[in-house]
Amino acid sequence: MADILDEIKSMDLKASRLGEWEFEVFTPKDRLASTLSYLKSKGFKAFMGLSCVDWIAEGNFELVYILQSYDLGLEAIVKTKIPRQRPVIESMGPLWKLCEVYEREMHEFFGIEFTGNPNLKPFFLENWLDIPPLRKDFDTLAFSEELFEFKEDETHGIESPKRIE
Amino acid sequence: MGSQDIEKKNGFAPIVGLKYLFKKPHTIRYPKEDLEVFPVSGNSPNYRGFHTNDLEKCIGCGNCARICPTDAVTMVESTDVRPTNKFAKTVRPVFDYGRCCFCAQCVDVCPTGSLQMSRDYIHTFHPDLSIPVEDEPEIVSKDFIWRADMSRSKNPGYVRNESNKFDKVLNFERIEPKKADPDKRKISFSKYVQIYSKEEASKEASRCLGCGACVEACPNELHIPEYISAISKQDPQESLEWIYKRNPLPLICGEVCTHQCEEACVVGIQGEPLAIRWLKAFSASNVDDYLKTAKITLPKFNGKKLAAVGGGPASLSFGYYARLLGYDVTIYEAEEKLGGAMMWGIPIYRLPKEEMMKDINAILSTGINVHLKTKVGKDIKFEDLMNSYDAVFIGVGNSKPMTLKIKGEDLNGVMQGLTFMHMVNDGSLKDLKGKKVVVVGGGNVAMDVARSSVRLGAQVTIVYRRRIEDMPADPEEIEEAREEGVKIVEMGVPVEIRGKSSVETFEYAVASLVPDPSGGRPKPVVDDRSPHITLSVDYVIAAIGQTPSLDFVPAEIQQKIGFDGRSVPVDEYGHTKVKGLFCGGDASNSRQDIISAIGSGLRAAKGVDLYLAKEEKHV
Amino acid sequence: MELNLLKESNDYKYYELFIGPNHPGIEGNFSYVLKMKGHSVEEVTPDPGLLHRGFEKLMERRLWTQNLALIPRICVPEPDVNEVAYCLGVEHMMGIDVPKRAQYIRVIVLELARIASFLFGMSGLGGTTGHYTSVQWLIGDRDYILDLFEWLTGGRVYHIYQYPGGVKNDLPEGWLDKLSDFLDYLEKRLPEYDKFIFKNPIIQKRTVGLGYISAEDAIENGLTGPNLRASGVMYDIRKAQPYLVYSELDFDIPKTGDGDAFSRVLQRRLELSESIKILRQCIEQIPEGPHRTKVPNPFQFRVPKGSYYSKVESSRGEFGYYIVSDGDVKPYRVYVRGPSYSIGLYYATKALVGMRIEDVPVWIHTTDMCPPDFDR
Repeated sequence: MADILDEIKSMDLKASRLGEWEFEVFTPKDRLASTLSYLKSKGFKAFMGLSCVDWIAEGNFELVYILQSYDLGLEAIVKTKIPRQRPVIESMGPLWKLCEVYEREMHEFFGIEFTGNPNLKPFFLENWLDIPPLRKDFDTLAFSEELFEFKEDETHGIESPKRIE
Repeated sequence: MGSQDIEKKNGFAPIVGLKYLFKKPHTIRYPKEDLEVFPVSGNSPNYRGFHTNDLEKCIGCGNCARICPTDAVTMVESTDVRPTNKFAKTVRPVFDYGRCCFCAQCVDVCPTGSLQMSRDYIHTFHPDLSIPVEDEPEIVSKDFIWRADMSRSKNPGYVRNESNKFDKVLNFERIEPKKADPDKRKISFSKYVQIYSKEEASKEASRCLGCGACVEACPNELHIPEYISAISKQDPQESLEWIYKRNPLPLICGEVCTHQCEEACVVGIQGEPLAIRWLKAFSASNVDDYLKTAKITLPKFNGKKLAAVGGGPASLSFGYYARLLGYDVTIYEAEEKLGGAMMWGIPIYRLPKEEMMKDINAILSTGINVHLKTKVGKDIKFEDLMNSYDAVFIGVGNSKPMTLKIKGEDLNGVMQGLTFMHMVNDGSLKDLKGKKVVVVGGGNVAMDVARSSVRLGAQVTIVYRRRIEDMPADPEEIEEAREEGVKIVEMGVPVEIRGKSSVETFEYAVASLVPDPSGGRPKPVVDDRSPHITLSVDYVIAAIGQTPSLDFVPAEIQQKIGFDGRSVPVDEYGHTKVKGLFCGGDASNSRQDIISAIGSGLRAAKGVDLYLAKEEKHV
Repeated sequence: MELNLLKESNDYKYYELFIGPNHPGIEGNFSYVLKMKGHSVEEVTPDPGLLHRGFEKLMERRLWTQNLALIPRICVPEPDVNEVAYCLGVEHMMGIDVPKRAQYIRVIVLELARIASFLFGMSGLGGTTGHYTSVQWLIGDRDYILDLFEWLTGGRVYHIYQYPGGVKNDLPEGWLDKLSDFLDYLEKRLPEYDKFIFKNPIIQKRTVGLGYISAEDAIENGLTGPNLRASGVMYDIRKAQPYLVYSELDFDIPKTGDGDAFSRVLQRRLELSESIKILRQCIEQIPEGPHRTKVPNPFQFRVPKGSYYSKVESSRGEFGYYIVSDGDVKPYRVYVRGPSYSIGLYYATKALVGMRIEDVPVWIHTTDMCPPDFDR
């Protein structure tokens, strides 16, 4: 693992060890494709998943690509940040066709545009008109209160202490 | 068997299944038949079925409702239950089994162990067929919502009982702060309890359930769950911000508060309560600039002037909160230093003076005027205060000690507890080496006197009228006093002090306790058969309580406000029956401790604000 | 079954066919929309969402330990992997050391769950090939495992037994003996399974040679677990990146070979034997000691800032939890990587094309796909 980490660091990318077999790589948005294809050529052939984290306070989406190498027995987590205002990034479909399915999900739940992905149609949700639901500014409670009749009692009947304020 | 072997096709192989035609079926006809695997009949011994709740043990803290991941628990006021202890509520959990997911997290966090799960899981619903179908959903939902009680307790399943209570999710063991050994601490007046380190504090704070039972017990309703939660995330600054909202003397309270909150702490029911007091001391001692950390912005003076009589915690708290509302406050203190009973009554091994001055200086830095060595009634007339200020706050403590009312009390060497402590604190009493001291009383003052005498080198005996467990002093104080070698005589009633000019002997009678029929503390009774014991002593110090002295207030005003010699009647804002005269501190509240005084000061500040706003409207 | 006729030519009818959402060939409410040309599949469109409960969002609203009641529901046939993967992630981020005994208990729970899940999966094969007796047998034997779980945890399917720092309660007295009795019973049953199911000419006729997946394809398309190993890639997280105490246990990765439907089922059958081997060693080796370390109580349970991807080898493959914390009492984000995602939502659209309609459920079942873990 140390060799790979050194090599990645020599490419001017930030990388660090996470555990015994895992390491993470931070890459700028425009170097994502080259980083991933480099890792793929190094043996990280299996694409395990794509996740997204909504860092609403700093105004970024963080995309997380999880790769696995069966030969080396190592795991690589590649992270890149894109602005929340204009969440566009190129599709990794050319590297792994499989990735397009994950991208479709992230498009639906976070509203991220993946340029080059031919199929970003609605996937899990049906007739969804609200903002993408896994974004941090989507309030599930307000949504269900609007949609359904019930009224959630947030206090559970617990009285808050009486004070002279 | 290797894979090749399995892979071979064999048309006759499946015939093996035929033999099961003649075997007993697997199916269990529950509940007529039992599974063989369990050591008990029925289902699993720790099955998570419907809940049982011991309504007599439940304290209504609501932790079950707060942990429920499906919001299935609601606390509902129950008229048929009695509060379990003096801090308990009469709400009890009601379960919506349409929502419950039987995860047992409510059982895990129940601090009393009253909530458990039974092995019952079959619930049948028999609808009344005469009721129209449209009404059915409502009936169904009612049928699924029950208050848990003991009706299923005969069949207990997932339970947390005595044997495994330390084994579950809650942490019942307190992190004790480091203390000096009794042998070391009894020869020195330096502080013997160490304030928590960051790790200790965070670990201790992480035992808090955040239910807020402590808030109701606190005379000043501090934001206790909030500040403990902040300590748990290792943020003393945020913690102090919460404390400072209602308590401008955080370090003092952190060291010497009577911590009734800890008596109310729900973790204390099965384990040791949180050390709320030490946690407060931790965050206060880890912050240098209170006002900056608490993000206090001082308003401009609004032109109104207030006077506070006495320089103790009540006046300081009153002054601080009134200052935050824009008032110009002047404190009149008779002694040469501020602090009142905190300065002169509390020994420095419990509260070092520099810690105290840190709190007081923060308050003074907001711009409060102080007149030291100015005794109201002597140096300045009380009526003048009433006339020249918009409102006056009386924050004097209890300064008139109660006397033993026995023979020989006027001898040299007989002292009052507070006088003795004053002498220790101002340095006029430095040495009691080899002397024998008897302390009469069982309160915190008696403990302070006894332990200070030990530190001055004396041999100390405490004589108390009832048993040790009846003593009003903090249990830790009693325990630590005994560790330091203080002898405690139970059920000793003073009879006489003898001596020529100064004390030589002290005689007490051993009383017997008669239970109080009305439920109060048992009464010591001395009769003819009671043995009398005489000790030879050098000092007798009476620490049996004090009453407030309002001598500086003219008699007619005393009468108007209804002062009866023990306390001043006030409304919830500390307003007396005389307009514009507020009272707080020991003179007006029954608990007579620092935190009550701070609370009364805070409330009086709000009261003054309301009162003056109302007055303005009238004009 | 109503067919949606698309067009008709001289030789074939072209129509649209729904497999699911409620179909014996699929565990859970999930459907494929197939475009058919006569008997054979022309185009496959997965239609997820019928089961989507928004777990990832729900977890952001709940306390760290409250989530333990929620996550087992992500995968119904094998809920324990969720609990363990989540706890492993949380423990790694908090730097908690789990006592040895707790780790052994976790391995026991995981391997039992794996056996239960294999039995469940293999019984599905019986369902799709019309071999219903095997369904009864395997589900019946799985129930004995659920009995053991009920005794250990208090719940039959959703155990809610793991807790950060260990497990909720210790093994009950006599439990290990009963487990050992069950293993004896199961080992006696295995030859009967082999004769009844695997040597059965009908089953072999339906599965041998069906849906070959080459090793390259399996890697490229993100297949994991027994599906990957049946294609000849001998990769098992328990061996390659051992978690818990798997490095102390002796077991093999069985090799079956050529990546057709039969070898995928056979792979499960042989790995089941390995699981029994692991369990026997655990019974032997389990040390005495505490089963849990103290952690802060649920209301003050905070995980330090950071992120971690924890993974567990489930009966279906790599089950991963990508956990992000901002230091608060609730997770900032939890992403669940279900092992069936790649095969169910992507690879099926390629592999099913050209297949005959009666083979589709068999193929789906031999991949042991579990829609709840991607439709989460």
